[in-house]
Amino acid sequence: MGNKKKHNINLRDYGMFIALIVIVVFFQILTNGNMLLPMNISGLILQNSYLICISVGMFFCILTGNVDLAVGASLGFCSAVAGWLIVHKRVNMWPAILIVLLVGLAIGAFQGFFIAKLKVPPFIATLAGMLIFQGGSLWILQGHSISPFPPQFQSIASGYVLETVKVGSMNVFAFLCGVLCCAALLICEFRAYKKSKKYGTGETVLSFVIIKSVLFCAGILFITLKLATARGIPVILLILAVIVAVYHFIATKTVIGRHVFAVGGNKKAAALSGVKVDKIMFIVYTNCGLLAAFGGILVAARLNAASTTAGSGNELDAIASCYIGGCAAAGGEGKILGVVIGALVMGVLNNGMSMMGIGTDIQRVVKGLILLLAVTFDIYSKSKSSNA
Amino acid sequence: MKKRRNGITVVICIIAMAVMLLAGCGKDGSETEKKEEGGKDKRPVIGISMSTQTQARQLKDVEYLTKELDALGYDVMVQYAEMKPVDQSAQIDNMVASGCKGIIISAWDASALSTCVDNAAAMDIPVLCYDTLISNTENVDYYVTDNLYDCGKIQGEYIVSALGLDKGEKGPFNIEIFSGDPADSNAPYFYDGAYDAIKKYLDDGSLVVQSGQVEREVTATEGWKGLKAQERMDTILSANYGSKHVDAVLCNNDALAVGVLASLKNAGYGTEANPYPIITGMDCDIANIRAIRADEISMTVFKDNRLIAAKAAEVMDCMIKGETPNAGDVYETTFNNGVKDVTAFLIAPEIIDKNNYQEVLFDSGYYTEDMLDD
Repeated sequence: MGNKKKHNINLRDYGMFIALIVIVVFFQILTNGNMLLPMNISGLILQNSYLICISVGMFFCILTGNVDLAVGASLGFCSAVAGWLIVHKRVNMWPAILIVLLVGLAIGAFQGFFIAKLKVPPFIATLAGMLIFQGGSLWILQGHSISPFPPQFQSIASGYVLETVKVGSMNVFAFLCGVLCCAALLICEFRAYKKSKKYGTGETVLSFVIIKSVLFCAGILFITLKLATARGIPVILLILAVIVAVYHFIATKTVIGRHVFAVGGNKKAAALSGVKVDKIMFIVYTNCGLLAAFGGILVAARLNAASTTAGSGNELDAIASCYIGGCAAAGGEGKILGVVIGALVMGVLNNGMSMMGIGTDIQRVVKGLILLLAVTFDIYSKSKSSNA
Repeated sequence: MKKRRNGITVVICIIAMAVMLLAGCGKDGSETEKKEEGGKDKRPVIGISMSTQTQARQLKDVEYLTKELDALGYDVMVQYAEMKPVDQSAQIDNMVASGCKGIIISAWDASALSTCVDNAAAMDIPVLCYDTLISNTENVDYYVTDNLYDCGKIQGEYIVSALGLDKGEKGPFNIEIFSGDPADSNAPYFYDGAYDAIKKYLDDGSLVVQSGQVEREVTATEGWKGLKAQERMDTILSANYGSKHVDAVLCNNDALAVGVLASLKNAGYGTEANPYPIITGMDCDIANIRAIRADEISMTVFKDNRLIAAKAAEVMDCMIKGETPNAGDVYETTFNNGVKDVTAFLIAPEIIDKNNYQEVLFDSGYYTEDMLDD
């Protein structure tokens, strides 16, 4: 009885992951193998880098049961500031990036102040933020895009790590990354297994742990080997990996992270338990602003321009990624890895349909339907397991 | 029961992974062979990256490009970026990844596509700039468009001759100006062409802009949207034209003209006592042709996309074959895109008004008669 219940929960956790794989295979077949070309894998990562960034920020907002509608506009505003500083004012790249991140923090803090201290509903405060920073971005740009950025800045988005260090035709760094990731994964899995055996929670079936480890390792090796035979690991992938790892750690292993979950689960109960709800809300929105700034830098580097429409509409993409990735609509539940997978699902859909030459009108219909399907399935399976 | 279902799901997962691995590895080996064979079995594909699906002009561009390229032996893959440079950049990257032999780009934000154009060049895929010139990269060699400056110029000249200014009329006539999207890299050319044609009369006072809004930045209309033009016209009319009458409105395109016309109608124009001003436009939208027929709008500019598309297809074909395209009877010049001088082929625009719309647009087959009925 106990075993069966654990199996159900496990599969729901990986439901979206399985869906991602199915979609990738589906497109791999339909695009005659072009989907998993190294160039396209890099392309996928580059195209969705900024989305993953802001989705991670949005994740914490959604955990508290709210959204941050200003994320897209903040991204655009920060990319405009980056353009103004680096191209117009000729500020050196690194201090400029620092300033842009501080601007992002300030934007987030500005909204956080109204939400946490003045108790303005987050929806309204961030809607106002969206308008303010859209206007701000247009004001800085004066209607034109600012370009070009210096090559060093561009390499954030288009560079590869240690591209020239190769053994034979294989990029050393990429290969090592793949091997190390697998090793780390195996260690983590078996540690978790031992722990769950000790306390009787989680996956207590060894065969499942082994299968899961093998599959994940296969996936990691597949991707890193593909990249190794091309130009190696894109710099952006490294940056993203660090960001995702850091925030995963914060979400699962720190007090602040647990407090965010608590606030989302039941605000009043959390407050009564001693969680400083105001402080948490402030931190969550400030963090959103910071990650929006990151995203803005990534977009500016990728386009080699600070564009007037950068970021517009992206707040909805970020929200979609979070929900596809398994966040509960009311808050209090979710995983960072789920968000990344959600963003990738949307990214693969965009990429695959675009490569197949499907009209953009149909692409949108498909994306909307998939979002609907994913969330419905998620809610349905949640209600099933809670009944079981 | 549940255990078995879970087992099956895990198995499916493993199979999916295996299939994917095999598919990936298998494709790698036979990749180069397949690409060569592709030329024999199916026709080479040209990628067409358009900026938006919401303007009739773009849809027509695609229609003609497809036809012309088809005649030259190519299939096409069309993607619309819905006015987002990030999406357009991604779509162009995807066209490169899916093996297009050449890419024709009608950029929304021409300064934001240098990265993906460089990517395409790295894969030896020629890129043709259509309608807007992509800047900040040396990897664009040719640019095909209509003569942007002249488009604006004939709009300005039409107003001048319609008001009789070139025949000695002194006015003063009231004119308002509506230019295009603030970030559109073509809009400044339209504006400059039109402005230069009327500048003399603005300076000597025979043309007066009552609202004081003359400069490009202040006359710009976000997204070329008719609704925005309508709102701005409403504001201008109520602030400046309480007792005065507008004699001319210079609209850089048809969507703006429709918006301005709506505003004027609401303000009571269109009667014997208060006739419509001269209103210009561009692109020959069907709504505007109807309005021209009904004496509401004065003119529009015809940029024969058939000619532009034909030239673009011809140039793309030459680029793929490694030949130098011939100007033929098209005006050839160069534009500087910030890095190099790019060879440009400019198709001459034509004025369309009540006198010649039937002949130029309908008799020639550009539009069909039933399009006017609604």
